[in-house]
Amino acid sequence: MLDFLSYDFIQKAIVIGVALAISAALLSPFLVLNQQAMIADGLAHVSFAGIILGIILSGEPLFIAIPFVMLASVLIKYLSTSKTINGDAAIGLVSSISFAIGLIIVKKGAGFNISIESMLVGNIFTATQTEMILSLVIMLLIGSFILIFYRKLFLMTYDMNYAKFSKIKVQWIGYTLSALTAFFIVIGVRTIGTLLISALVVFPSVISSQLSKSFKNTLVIGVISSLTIVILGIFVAHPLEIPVGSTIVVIYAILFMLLLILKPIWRK
Amino acid sequence: MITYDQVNVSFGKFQALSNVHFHLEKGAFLHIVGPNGSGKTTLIKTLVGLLKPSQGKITINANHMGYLPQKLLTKTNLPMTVREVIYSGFKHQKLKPSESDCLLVKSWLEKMEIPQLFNESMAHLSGGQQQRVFIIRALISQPDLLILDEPTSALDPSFREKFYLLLDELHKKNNMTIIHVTHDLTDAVKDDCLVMYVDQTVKFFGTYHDFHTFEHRGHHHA
Repeated sequence: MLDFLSYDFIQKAIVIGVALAISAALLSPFLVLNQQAMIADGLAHVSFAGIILGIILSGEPLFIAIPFVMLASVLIKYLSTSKTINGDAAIGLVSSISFAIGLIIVKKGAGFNISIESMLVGNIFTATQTEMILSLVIMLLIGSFILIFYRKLFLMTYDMNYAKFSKIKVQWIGYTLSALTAFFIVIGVRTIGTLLISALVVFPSVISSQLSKSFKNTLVIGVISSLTIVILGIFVAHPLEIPVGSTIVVIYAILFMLLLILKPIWRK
Repeated sequence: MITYDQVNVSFGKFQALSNVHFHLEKGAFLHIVGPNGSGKTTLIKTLVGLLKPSQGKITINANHMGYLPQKLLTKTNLPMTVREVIYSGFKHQKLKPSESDCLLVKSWLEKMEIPQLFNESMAHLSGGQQQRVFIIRALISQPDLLILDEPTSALDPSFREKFYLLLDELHKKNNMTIIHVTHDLTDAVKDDCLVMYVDQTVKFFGTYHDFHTFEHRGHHHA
């Protein structure tokens, strides 16, 4: 029954799935509980342009797309903290401009043929060796960052003024978090798709905050649920020949609805 | 300990504080009063480093500051426990708190009469209980300068009285310098306290006794 596990592309998909599931769940509470959930969605749109530029300019699009999206994340952060415009508007501006440029290049760019659908939906089963290595790299980077700065990030999430008062370098930590999110999103867009990658970041905290009363457990339960659902998504999507990203989101949505129904019953 | 030298704070054309000038000695207990929108919280924000003055100079000689922001400014609806919030107040953040840290936390929980809430979710607490947790967070690092922005707004009257007795004890026994923004001086004031009346600038700075005379000349605090 588990014969398909011997295929190289399945093994690669599982490694990438595990790395992305852990990365997404570790980022999740610091973005979602800090009203920055939409940054993942915005950066996914920026990735679309970044990857297309990467295809034009390089043999390995990720090497162009990753710095491009990291730069955009810094720009969004800068615009939203400079008080010129609010955070949501900054994400909306940068992401829609990038997406528009990406679409124009796809239509008018000569010498290459990209399926927009494949960019929007992604495909974890066609992932390359480089994508697998980069997904492990980003997991390690995000894991180390969260471990080292956990208490500072926690304080920044629930009381930014107190974090500043405590002399925490909130700008530096905030920009680093954005840049790591950008790196994660680019890898995720290639495998899970532009439209659905943000769900991987949003769902873990939404689910785990229903089950946990502490921040630490929200993080831990988020990682466990993310890992379980992403692996389950890969196992369900492959035999049914449906997109992995969509399968993951649907399983998350079912779990979330079950929690909403069951939570009041447990409380009684 | 604290010197304000002709400090101005403006937001665009709006002048929030103008020519604030005073000196506060170590071990003083200062109450800051003034009407709504008079710049009290702006003054506190310059003290704790959240706002930089547009002009002038602020000098603070404190080893460690404790700060209780106005309650409205802090999120309390996130999944986080009382334990997590209190530990985030320690000066040196550790992954695992030491035994002496744990004992200190325990003694503060008892003083604030909330030992049973240590592992509770902040979101499940009443406004007054949350305020007591934030008071512990401000005090847990044993500051020599404590800054409180309307600390009793959510506290019930009987605990408010106990809280002021506790502040008096910290001030006298530990020689802690305390700066306290309030709307209601009646409960708070002890004989040796100083009072500052702020309305865009320092309109009065002196003893509580002299403040009465100042008030009778036609100024009223809110």
